[in-house]
Amino acid sequence: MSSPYFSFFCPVKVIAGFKALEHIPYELGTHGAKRPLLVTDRGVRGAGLVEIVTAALSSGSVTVPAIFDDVPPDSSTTVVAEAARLYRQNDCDSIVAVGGGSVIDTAKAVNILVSEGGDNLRAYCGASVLKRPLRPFFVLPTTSGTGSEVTSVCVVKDIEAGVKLPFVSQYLLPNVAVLDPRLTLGLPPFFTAATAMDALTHAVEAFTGLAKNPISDAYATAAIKKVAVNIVPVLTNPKDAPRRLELALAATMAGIAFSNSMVGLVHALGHSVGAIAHVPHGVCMSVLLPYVLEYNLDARRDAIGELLLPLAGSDIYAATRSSERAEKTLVHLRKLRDELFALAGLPRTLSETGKVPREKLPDIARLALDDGALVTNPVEAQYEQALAVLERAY
Amino acid sequence: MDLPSQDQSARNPVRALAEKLAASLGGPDAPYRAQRTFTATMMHLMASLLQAASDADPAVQNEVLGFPEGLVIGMSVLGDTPQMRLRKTGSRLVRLASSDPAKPNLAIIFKHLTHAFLVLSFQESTARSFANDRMITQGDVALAMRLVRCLNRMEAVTLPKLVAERALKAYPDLPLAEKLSLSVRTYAYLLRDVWRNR
Repeated sequence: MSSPYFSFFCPVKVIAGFKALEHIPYELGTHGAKRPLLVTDRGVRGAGLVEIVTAALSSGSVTVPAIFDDVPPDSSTTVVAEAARLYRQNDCDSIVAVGGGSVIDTAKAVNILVSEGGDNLRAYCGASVLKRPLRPFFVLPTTSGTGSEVTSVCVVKDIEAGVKLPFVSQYLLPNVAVLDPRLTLGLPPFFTAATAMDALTHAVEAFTGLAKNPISDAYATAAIKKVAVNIVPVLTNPKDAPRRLELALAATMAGIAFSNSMVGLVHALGHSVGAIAHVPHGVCMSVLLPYVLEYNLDARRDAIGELLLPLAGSDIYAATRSSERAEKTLVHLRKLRDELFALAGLPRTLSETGKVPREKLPDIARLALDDGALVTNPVEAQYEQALAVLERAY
Repeated sequence: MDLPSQDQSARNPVRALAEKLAASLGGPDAPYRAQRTFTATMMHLMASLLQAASDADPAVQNEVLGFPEGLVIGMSVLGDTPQMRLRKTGSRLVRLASSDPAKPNLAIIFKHLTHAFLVLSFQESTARSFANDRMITQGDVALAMRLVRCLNRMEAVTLPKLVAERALKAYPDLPLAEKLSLSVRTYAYLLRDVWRNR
């Protein structure tokens, strides 16, 4: 066993809470920016969220010269090039992303092109290729799950080559993340539940993985507590703005945790289920999390047991023997999963998604072996073990 | 906080003694020189063993078949000399001579010589080194995972179990008879390659 070592990095300024959007004009000014390109998608625009943002900006003497709202759920190099063209045509000087994971990833990639010049995004693909800071970049998440507002990664599809291009650089991190409950108030119950479980999974995998560290642990446990305390009340009363904000904070804190500790087998399997059966990412996370924790239980009994405190609260934690806390954590996760099924129709098993044919499980298990997230899972998983977890989750 | 000046440190008897001792052992960079020699030797050996394993072990062959033809795999140390490179040729991995100018399409680059030394001296497993952010992976992640599986299998077969357990996250279910048979075959291919290249 080698001596402990870790690194931790998060330079993103987080602005959160009541009337947070109204801080953006000042923050843009501190970065010397006054003409942001707004990147979003049709769904966000249709929900009226773009108008809320532009009103907050224009009342603060910031005009938005252009809005790119053509981001699809699975973004591509073509879309990124179009948005970059719009940025240049309108002489923009910064980027404001308003949306979920795809919008934020697209905006990160647009920032590469408009900062580095040219239209060849492929040239910047890979880890640590970017060597200097990019244009001022603000992110306003409209879902509470991905944590992309605090991660240094984006993935964009290269349609010509038929591959997904990953970009990893500290310079992709936004300068500012703005969490305003007005942006998530209208999120439907199903997506509220799925994205909250995405955030919970980020935090649980960060806390139980090989790369866990004391600082990411603090973010992870705080995020888990926020999801556990607020998700059911939000589903019962979707217009509860303070609790919506708590879920948004949970997603950001879980994002900070996992971007410094990485994820594990839940994500490796979940990415493969998503790629082969097109099940939404948050649903995959929710379904697979209890089964992967069961698989990791012996190797991570202490860490999983510690999660009982943020998940179930101090009374239950104190009343449970330390030797039984890990199993009790799993009981509470399953209970939460059942509540989300009852309140939001979130599937509890792969078969309940209605999208995963059983005969596809071997293909999913094989694909998962090629996922980088597997490296930091605390327990080695080969094809047989991956397939066994999928079978149990079916 | 004031930092000690050179004069002050020169007057510090403990520091002066430490510096004198380091100088007598070959200077403060002596450990790095030793690590460089060890790492270069181990990378050469690992590349040779991977080539031999791709001839001897069906499990490694099966993984190698998944690499695109002509793929050049590299492992190196950032800004330093130790490195290994292999090219996928048919069903084999072939170690490249140092004079070959081919650049890796898939590269694992340790951020410092000491990080490579920790892994290659089995003080830190590959997974722990990755979790500790001690290396950069350049190229397709799926292919990098395939390479890790090749390395894991080769180490499980060719290293004594006690050593392999330090290098791997989990020692595989490999019966002793099978391990011995594969190990002998792999080392036989290694000797053949050494004989051919002498």
